[in-house]
Amino acid sequence: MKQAKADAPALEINGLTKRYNDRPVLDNLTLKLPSASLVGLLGPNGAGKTTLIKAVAGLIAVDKGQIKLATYDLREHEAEARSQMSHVPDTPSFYPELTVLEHLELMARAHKSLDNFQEQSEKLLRRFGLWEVRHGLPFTLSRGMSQKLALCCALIRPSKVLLLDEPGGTLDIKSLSNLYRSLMEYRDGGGLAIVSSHQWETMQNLCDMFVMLDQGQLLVAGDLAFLRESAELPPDASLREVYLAFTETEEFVPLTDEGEQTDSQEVLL
Amino acid sequence: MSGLLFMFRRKFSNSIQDAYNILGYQPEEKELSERLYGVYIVVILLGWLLAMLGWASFTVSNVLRGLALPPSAIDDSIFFALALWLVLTPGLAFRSYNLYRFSLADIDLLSNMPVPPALVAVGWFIRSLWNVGLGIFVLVCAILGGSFSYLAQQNDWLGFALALASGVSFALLLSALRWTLALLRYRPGRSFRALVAYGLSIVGFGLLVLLPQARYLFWPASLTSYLVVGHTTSANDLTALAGAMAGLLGTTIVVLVAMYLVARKTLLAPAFEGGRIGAQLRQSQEISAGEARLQRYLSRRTAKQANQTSAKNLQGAKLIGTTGTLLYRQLVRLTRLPPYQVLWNAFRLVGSGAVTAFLLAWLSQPNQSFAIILQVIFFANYLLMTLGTGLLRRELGYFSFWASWPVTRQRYMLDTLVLGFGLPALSGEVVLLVAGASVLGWGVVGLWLLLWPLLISVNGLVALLIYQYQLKKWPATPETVPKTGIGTVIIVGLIWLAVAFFGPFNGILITISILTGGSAMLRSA
Repeated sequence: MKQAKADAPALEINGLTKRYNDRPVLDNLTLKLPSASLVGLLGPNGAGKTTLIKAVAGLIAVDKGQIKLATYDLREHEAEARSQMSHVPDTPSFYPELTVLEHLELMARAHKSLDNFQEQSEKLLRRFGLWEVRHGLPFTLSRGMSQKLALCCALIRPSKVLLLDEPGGTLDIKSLSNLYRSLMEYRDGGGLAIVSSHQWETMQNLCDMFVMLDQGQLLVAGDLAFLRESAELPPDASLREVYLAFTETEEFVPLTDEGEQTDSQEVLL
Repeated sequence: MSGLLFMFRRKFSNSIQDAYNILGYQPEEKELSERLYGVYIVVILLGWLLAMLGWASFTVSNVLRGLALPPSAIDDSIFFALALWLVLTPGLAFRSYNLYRFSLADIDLLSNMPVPPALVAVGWFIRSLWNVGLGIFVLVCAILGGSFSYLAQQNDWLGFALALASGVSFALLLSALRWTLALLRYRPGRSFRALVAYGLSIVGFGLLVLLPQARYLFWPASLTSYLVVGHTTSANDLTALAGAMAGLLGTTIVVLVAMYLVARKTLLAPAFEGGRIGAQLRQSQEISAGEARLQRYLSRRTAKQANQTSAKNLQGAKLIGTTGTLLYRQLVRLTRLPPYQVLWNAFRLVGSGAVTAFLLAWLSQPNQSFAIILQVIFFANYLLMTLGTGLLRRELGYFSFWASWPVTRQRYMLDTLVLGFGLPALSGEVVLLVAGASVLGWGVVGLWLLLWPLLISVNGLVALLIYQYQLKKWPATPETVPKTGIGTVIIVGLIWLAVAFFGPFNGILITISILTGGSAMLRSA
């Protein structure tokens, strides 16, 4: 494992291990991520990205290790640590009886940050195109709109670490660009945003740092230049090439006969 | 057809496999010893079931004997209750979302199968019978039948069997009637409108209350109440019993056939759509069919702009911070729920605490049957734990909210459990105060005023400890939020039994010890 130097960590993880039925999902993971940065969490399906995000969000109990959010240990100073963090799960769930606007209000109430709530909520909801449905109930929203509501809930109050688990999968182009703008604002405000995603090109343009996981282990963490250097790739290598260099790609198994297989591979490549 | 059978086989096989896992029986083993073990399990379970049912009938008989209620009055009451259910059925059918009970996979399978609509509707109908409420109804009928036969010194097993059969038949009849009417909503052109549905229920209720011949008009209810209790008021007349049973079964068969005939002309596409929406709601949020129905209700309110609130007014409210927000959410929820659901929830929460506290204080007097105390404690705790932890279980599913609230998970769970157990604790305390000032006297009630909140606190603490343990293995998905389960009911039941056995004074010491030890465990967790 290789990792670039990181000062003043907003998130510090030491020896994190999580097993499901003796199968390690996170295997002795150690990581330090600085504040005021946008970090891309990358890895193949089942690499442990969602488990890592859930562990940092204090949703699952880990078997071993320590997590510090803005210097607060998640185990020893749980309330303080949680207050520093916002979490956007891949499939958010909402209270069926609360309206879109009330979900934002709920989050602001819990954090006692109702000052300027009306202006803040209107700004956020307008940014993500939810203002018109602010009095609607969440189960009437489409999947993409639900994702946007989860983002608004995460951004309605101040935090220092923002965890996003595949946030762009169901968003339209305009919403995606609004999301990226919001993330950059968040970073400029001194926050650390960790984004798990498979959208390589966007991540390459957006993120300052990358964390690559595979089979619960940290492959590499650092900026793109550091990743290229670690993978012994030329300076113009893309993030996709870096990723492929670090992970073993599965052999393509054709579903058709020999002749068609060649054509399909050509098309794919 | 084989697709339908596959669907049911899958559901049954899952349940049966769970039972095998619990019992340690391996059906794939062909050895004689394993086969004999299977026979042994069946014999033990059947024997246990019969013993429990016999015990329940015997206990109910003793209670009824103590109350000295005339069987004819009970017969009239049962008839009225059953007839009321019958007249409410058209109204219920209009709001029936039985399709919501299906999983999305079932709906997809059904909608892609080349099966006639009538057959699919029958499949749905059979699936809807897999219902705890109906099971309890049938069991209550059977136990009442056995108890009244025992009191009348008649063959109590025959009484039990007759009541069981009539309960099953009546439940089938009403379910089929509800489905027949509900299916009418999907018929082209002749939709089952609200005016007709509620009109039928209102007219039916009027006839039930005002018409002297109501017993003839609502004959299925009349026959069922006769087969459960009515026949014990006189010597057993086998011809009358057989006639009543034949009449009830015949009516049930007629309604079932009617349902099949209506289903043949039903458009299933809108029904599938309704079912799919319900299934999606349930799947996405792991909610019950009732909760899915609530969401449909809320969406109708939204269409009428009834959910709009003034943000300015809400901001003025003082409920902030995590505890305040939790309370605020519950208050908003109360304003959004349909009135009948608010009343029903309040009735269950208040009723469970009030009735349990009163019964415990009353039964703690000398010469009371320990068998009755045992059953009261088991059922009361089952109800209290289900109601008390229901809120926590629901809230845990919305983890994208509480995960980033500035509060420890333990404190969050504690606050939620206080909300869940608070109303039963309060209602029990009020009832004890009233009972102390009136029927039971302060001599009986005095110590219970302190013991009751302690017992409820023990329940809350045990639930918290169990959840704390279970959440260590929770993968944090809404569909896997743990349940406290029957084990928790047994644990708190044993504590309550110890309190009942050693008396209120020692009970206070026991509960304080448990609360002290449990709190220490919580702190070290």
